[in-house]
Amino acid sequence: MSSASDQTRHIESFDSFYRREFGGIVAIIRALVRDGAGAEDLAQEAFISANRHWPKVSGYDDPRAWVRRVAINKATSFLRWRGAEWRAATRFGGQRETAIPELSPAGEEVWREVRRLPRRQAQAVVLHYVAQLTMVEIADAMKCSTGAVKSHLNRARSTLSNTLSDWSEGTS
Amino acid sequence: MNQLEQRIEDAAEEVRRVSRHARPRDIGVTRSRNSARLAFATAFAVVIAIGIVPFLTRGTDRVPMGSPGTVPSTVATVPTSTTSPAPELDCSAAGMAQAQPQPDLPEVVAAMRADIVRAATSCDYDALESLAGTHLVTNFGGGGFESFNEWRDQGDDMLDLMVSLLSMPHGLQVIEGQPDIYAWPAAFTYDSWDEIPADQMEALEEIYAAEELTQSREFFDGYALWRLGITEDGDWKFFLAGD
Repeated sequence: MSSASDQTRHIESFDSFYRREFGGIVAIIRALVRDGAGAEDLAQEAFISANRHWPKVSGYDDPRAWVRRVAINKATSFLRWRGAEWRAATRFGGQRETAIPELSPAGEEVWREVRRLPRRQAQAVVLHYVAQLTMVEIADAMKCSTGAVKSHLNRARSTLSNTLSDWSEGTS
Repeated sequence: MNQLEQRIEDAAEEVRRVSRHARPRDIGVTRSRNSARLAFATAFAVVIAIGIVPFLTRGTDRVPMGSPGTVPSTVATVPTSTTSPAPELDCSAAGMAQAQPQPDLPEVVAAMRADIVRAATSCDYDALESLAGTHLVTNFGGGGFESFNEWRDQGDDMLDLMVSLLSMPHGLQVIEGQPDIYAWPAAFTYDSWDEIPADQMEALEEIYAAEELTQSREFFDGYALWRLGITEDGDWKFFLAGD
């Protein structure tokens, strides 16, 4: 049985974790889903799940890894299930408020092309470049082998080398 | 660093920079923001609900088998050490862990489950099609294996989700006059949302966005998201979502 002070420690610990890691998780999702407000919502959902299971999650070697995995799964769920609905909401409701500034055209183009990749390749790119994770950490987040991560990254780079090839002449 | 690497690095730095402007809200605010979009969610769910397949609807006798403590395997606990390298494979399930044994499964069901996971993690569509046979239901029109080709062509082949579901606890769907169906996740086999155990909810929260779970709970009072079923005879019966 946990005491009141234990409960307080859990809450304070989560709060610190939440405030420190929130921006990093938002960045991962922002690259994957384009919409800033949606990225903030999904990031918060991931942290809500972490908070709900904090006594367990906080015991993991790296609670961030759990939140990252949940975040990319939620982004996938968001894109898979809400795509049509989200487009309708945006069309009828306009842009929602977000504190995240727009990306530059050159930056937005990169993530647009990344999002056109097969989903697992896009996840590998974002976890590698945005989250700056090691191959082992990416494999943990994607629940696959490091070999598969390298394969996803290689295929992604091959595609992006074609789709982004005109950048230096066009949008720089 | 070549030009491509530099450009992606620059874009990554920018998305990290702008994301620092995001401010964590008090926990609970997201749900109220999301509720404003629930009308769209409900409309979406209504569309899904139109084509009800009788043998997949609620009202059947479903017996959860994956009670806490009896079926320990969940998405969160599958050890990554069992993953196998698949550097040349190109699908979402490439390199994912093979199926860990689950108690209470008939031999033919366990074999089909393992075969599906093996085929998916090998990106072997020929093997998957062979396992699917001619009666697999993947949507409310029937769908069949062709849905896998369509999902792949659309850029989201669904294989990683299918493998993830098969690593979760299973339940039993009992329909009078038909073979029993072993279903993943077990959450599908509970009669109401509130009966789903906390550990299974945690696993679902790792996979789905909150709104999808909210839709499922509020509109169907049960798990109506993606699930996979194998009959007691070892036939792969369905892989679909909706109610």
